[in-house]
Amino acid sequence: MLRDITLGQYYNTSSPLHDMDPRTKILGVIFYMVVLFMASSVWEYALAALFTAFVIKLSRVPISFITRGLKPLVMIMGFTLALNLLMTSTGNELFHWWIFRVTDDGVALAVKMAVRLVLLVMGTSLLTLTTSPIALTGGIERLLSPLSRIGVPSHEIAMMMSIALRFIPTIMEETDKIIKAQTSRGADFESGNLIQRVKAMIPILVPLFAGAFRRADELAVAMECRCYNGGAGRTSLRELRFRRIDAMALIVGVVLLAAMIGLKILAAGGIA
Amino acid sequence: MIKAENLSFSYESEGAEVKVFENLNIEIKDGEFVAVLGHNGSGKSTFAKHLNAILVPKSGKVTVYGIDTADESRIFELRKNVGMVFQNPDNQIVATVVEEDVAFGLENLGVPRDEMRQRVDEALNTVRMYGYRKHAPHLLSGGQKQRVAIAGILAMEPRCIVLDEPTAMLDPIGRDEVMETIRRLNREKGITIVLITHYMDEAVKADRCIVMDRGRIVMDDSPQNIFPRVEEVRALGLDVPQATELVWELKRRGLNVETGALRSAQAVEAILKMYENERTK
Amino acid sequence: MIELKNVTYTYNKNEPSARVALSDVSLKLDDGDFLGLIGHTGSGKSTLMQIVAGLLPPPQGSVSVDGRDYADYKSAARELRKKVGLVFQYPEHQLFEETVYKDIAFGPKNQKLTGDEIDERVREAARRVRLDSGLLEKSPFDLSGGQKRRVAIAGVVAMKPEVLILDEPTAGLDPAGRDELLNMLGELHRDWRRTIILVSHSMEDIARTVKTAAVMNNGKLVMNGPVEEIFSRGAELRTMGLNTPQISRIVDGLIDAGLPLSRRIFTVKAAADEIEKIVRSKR
Repeated sequence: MLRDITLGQYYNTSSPLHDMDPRTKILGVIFYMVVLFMASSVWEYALAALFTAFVIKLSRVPISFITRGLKPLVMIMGFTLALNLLMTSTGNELFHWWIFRVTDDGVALAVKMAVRLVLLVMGTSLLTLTTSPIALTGGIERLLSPLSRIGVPSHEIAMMMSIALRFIPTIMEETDKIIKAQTSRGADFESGNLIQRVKAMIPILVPLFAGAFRRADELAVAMECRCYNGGAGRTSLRELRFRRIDAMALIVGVVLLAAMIGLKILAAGGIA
Repeated sequence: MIKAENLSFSYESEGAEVKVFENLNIEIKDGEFVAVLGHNGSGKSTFAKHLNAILVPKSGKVTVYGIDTADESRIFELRKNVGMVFQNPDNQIVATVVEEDVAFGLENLGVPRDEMRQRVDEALNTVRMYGYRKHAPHLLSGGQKQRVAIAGILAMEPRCIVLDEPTAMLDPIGRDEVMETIRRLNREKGITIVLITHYMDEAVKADRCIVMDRGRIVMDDSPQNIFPRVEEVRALGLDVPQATELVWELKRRGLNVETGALRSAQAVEAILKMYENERTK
Repeated sequence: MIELKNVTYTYNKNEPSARVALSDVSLKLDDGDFLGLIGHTGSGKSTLMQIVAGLLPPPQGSVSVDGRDYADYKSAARELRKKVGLVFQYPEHQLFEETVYKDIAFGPKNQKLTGDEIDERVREAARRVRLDSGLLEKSPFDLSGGQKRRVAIAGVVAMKPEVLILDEPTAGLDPAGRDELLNMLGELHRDWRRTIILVSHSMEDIARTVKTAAVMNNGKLVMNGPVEEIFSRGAELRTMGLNTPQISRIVDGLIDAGLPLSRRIFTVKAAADEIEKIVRSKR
C-alpha cells in the first residue's frame, strides 16, 4: 500500500524532463494547474490530456508507474464522481431513483471532474518523479529567495525539507525496529477498542520521539562543527542553470495557456 | 599545536555541581596520532568537545593553532582547522546524496563552486568513496557512512581531526576500513589525529596514548610503554591486547620471555625467541 | 525446543528490490543451549533471529516448536513470540515509561501476570542485571548509557522467556561494562538453564562466553559447532570478513613456526598453559 504512492517518489532515469532546471518544472506545474482549472469544454480537456500525454512520453517514466500512483486516489475519485453525478440538478433527466435524479449535465460534469483529477495527479507527480529531492529543495530555495527580503526564511525552509528527506528512511527503519522490540515484549497493537489502541501506541511513540530529539541534537552539533551558520554567504555545489530546454519548456507552457484562452474565446463566440 | 592549560569543566545535575575534569594540561603536536582512552564517564569525550569549541572552558584555556577557543569571532577559522567525526554515522550526514554531504562544510564556508567540486572529489578519492558519490547515504554500510563523514571533514582541509569513538557502532570490516583511512590521513597527509576509543587494538596503532580516569590524566606515553603495565591498565577498566597479555602472563609464570609485544607478530617473535633460548640452553 | 528446517527469507518479495536474506537455513535450538551467533552485517543473522522470535512475515520452510510442526508460520509465530524474548541492538532506545520499574514491568504486564508476580519479576530482573534497586523509581531517561542498557535487558529478562536472544548486547560499552554484561549472561545461563543466544561480531566476546557457536555468511549457516572447532578455521572466517581472536592468530603463527601447539586454543589462559607446558618439558 505505502509503496503504491508514487507522489513524492523519484524515478531515476535520464530524459529531457529530468535535465530541466527544477525551477522551470515547479513553475511549469503551477502553470499546468492553472490551465487544468480553466478547462471546461471537451476540446480544452482534450488539449490538456494531449499535453499531459506528451510530457509523460518526454519523461521516459513508464506509464504503469504513473498509473500506479492513481490507485490510492480511487476512493477520492469515486466520491467526487458520485457527488457530481447525484448533486447536479440542471439538464435533462436521464433517469431517477429514490430522491436522486441523474441528468446529462451531471454525467458530463462528473466525467470532467474525474478527468481533471486524473490529469492533475499524473501531471504533478511528474514533478517529483523527474526531480531528485535535493534538486527540488534547491529549486524551491531559489524560487523563494526573493521572498527572504520580506522575511520568508527560504534557506531554512529548504534546509528543513532536505534534512527531513534525509532522515525519513532512517526513522522508518527505527520505527520498524521499535515495533518489533515492543512486540517481542508482548505488546499488542491489534486488539481492543479505540482508546486501548491509542494507548498501545505510547510504547512506540515515546521512543520514536526521544530518538528523533537525540538525532536532532547530534545532527545540530555535527552541523555546527562543519561551520553551518544559516544561509548567509553560502555557496552551493549544485548548479542551477537555466538552459535552452528550460526556455523552450516555458514557451510551450505559455503557448498552452494561450491555446486554452483561445479555445475559450472561440467557445464564447460560438455561443454568441 | 593544540594546547590545553589548567582546563576544568563541570556541569549542574539536580542542583549539585559535577566535576568532569579539573586542571587538565595537554599538549598535542602537529602530525601526532593520539589515542585518548578511558572508561565511560572518564571525561575523554568532554575533553574532545573542547578542541573545536563545541564546549568552551569553564576555567583554563584551550589554544588551537594560536586560536583561543573562547574567542567567538574566530570560531569558523577554528572549526575549519579542527574537524570532528562522531560515533553515530547516521546522525552526522546532512544531505541525501553523498557528494552533497561532503560539500556541506565548503558550502557553509562559501567556497566557490569550481574549487568546491575539486575538493569534494579529492576528499572522496582519499577515503575511497568516489565511486559512491551519487549514492544515497542511508543505503551505505556503517563503515562507508563513516568514511563519507570523514570526507566531509577532509574537504575543509583541516590540520587536525578529532574522532569520538568512530568505530563503536561498526562491524569488524567497517572498523578496519575506518582505521585504515585514519592512519593514511595521518601518515600521508600529516593530519593530526585525536582518536577517542575503547578498542585497544586501535589504540596500539597510535603514536601516543593518553589514559584518562575520573577527569585526570593517569598515563600519557607511547602504547609500547603503556600496555605492558597490564595490571595498572586493567585497574583503570581498560583492556590489554591479547598479545601483550599473553607474554605478560608467561613472564608472570616465571618464563624468560621479553614483554612489551602489542601485535600478534611481536608476541610470536618473543615466544619463539624464548623457545629457542630454552632449547639451546 | 525450536527447530527451523530449510528456511528461506526474502525481503521485498515480488519487487525489483527483492533481496534474499536467508537461504535454506536449518537450525535446531535445544533447551538450555548457550549459543553464539556470528556473522558480519548483512550476513542474515538478525533476520534469522527475528524469525526465531516470530517477528517477521512467514518465510519459506518449516518451523517446529517443542516437537510440534506448524503448517503455517503465522500460528508458529504466535507460539514463538510467547517463548522467545529478543533484545535488539541498542535496546536502551526503546525505553518509554516514566520509571525504570514500570518499564521493566511492561512485559510481565502484557503476560497478564498478577500484581505480586509482576513485582517479583521486576525485582528479580533488576537484580539479575545488577541494577541498583534505588534506581527503580527513577526515570529511565535520567540514567547513564550502561544503566539504560541494563534496564532494557531487564525488561525482557523479567518475562522469563524460554529463549533469550541478545543482538550485540555489548555494542558501544566500555571494556568494564562489556565484561560485566557478559559475566551477567553467563550467570543467568548457569542459574536459569534456559536457552540464551548471543549475537555478536566480536570473536573475543564469543570466545569467552559460550561453548558452541554458529556462523552466518551471505544468508547461509556455514558453521555450527563447538567454539574451538570454529576458531580453528581462522582462514575461512577471515574470508567472510570476520576476525579470529588475536590469541588464535598468535597460536597459528607459533604453529606455523613449528611449535607443537593445538589449533583449538582461543583464550589467553589456555595458550599460556600450553606454551608453559612445552617450554618446561624442554628443560
